[in-house]
Amino acid sequence: MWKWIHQFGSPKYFYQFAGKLAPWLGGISLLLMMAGVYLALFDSPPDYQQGDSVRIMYVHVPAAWMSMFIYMVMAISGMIGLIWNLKISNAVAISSAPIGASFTFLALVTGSLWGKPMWGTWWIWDARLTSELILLFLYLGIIALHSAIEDSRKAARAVSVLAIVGVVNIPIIHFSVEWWNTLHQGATVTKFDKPSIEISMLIPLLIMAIGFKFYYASLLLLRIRCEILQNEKNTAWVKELVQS
Amino acid sequence: MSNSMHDFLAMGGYGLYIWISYALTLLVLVVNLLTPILRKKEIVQSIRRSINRREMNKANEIKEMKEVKE
Repeated sequence: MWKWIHQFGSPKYFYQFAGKLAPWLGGISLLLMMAGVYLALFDSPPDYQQGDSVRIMYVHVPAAWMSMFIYMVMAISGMIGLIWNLKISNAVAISSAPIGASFTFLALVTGSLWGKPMWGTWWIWDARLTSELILLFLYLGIIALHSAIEDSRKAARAVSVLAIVGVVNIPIIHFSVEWWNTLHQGATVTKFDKPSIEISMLIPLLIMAIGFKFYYASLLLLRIRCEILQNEKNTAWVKELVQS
Repeated sequence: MSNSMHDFLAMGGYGLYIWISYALTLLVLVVNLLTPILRKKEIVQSIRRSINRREMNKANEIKEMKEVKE
C-alpha cells in the first residue's frame, strides 16, 4: 500500500492519474448538482416564514461550507508542505486558493441576495458576515502573496504560513452565531445535535454540498496538473508529452 | 399554462433574488472550470514554442560553425 501512496510523489504519475480521475469526479459532481438544483427549485417546499426565498439556501449554505472546507484543506496541505517540503502539498494549497475565494464570494453575494428580501438589508457588520468577509480577504491575500514572490519555494512557504495563521478565523466564523448576537441565524445542521431542519430541505442541501465537494476535487486535480506542467517543463517526459 | 410558468419564475415575488443567485453560482462554477483548461493550453503552447526556439538556435549554431569552417 505504501508503494501505491509513494507513486503519487512522482509528478508524472500524479499528472496521468489526475487526468484520468478528474472527468469522473466532474461527472459525479454534475449529476449531483443537477439533482440538487431540481429538488431545490421544483420539489422542495417553500418555507412557512420565508416563502420561496428559502431556495437561495441551497446554493448559499453549500457555498459557505465549501469556503471553510477549502480553507482547511489549504491550511493543512500548506502545513504538510512546510514541514515535509512536498511539492504536491504546496500545489494543493495554492491551487485551492482561487476556488476557495470563489465560493466565499458566492456565499457572501447569495447571502446578500437572500438578506435583502428577508432582513431588509444587503449587508450588516455582524459577526458571521464580517468574519466571512475576512475569509475572502485572507484568500485574496494568499493569492496576492504567492504571485508577489518570485522564488516558488519561498512563495509556497509564505503562503503556508499565512494560511495557517488565518485558520483561527474558521472557528470564529462557525461559532460567531453562538458567541455574538447576530442577525444571521444560528446553526441548524452543523451542531452537536440532531439537525433542526425539515428532511425535505435537508436532502437537497446535502446533495448540493456533496456535489460541490466533488466539483472542488475535480477542479483541484485539473489545477494541480497545470502546476505540474509548469514545474516540470524542463523534464523529458513533459517535452515528449507536449509534442505528441 | 403560461400562468404557472409565470408563477414559477416569479417564485412568490422573490424571483429576481433567486434567479440571480443561481445564475451567479452557475457563472462562478463555469469560470472556475474554464480557467485551468485554458491555462493548460497556454502552458503547452509556451513549452512547445520554447522547444522550437531552442532547436532553431541549435540549428543556427551548427550552420554558423559550418560557415566558419568554410
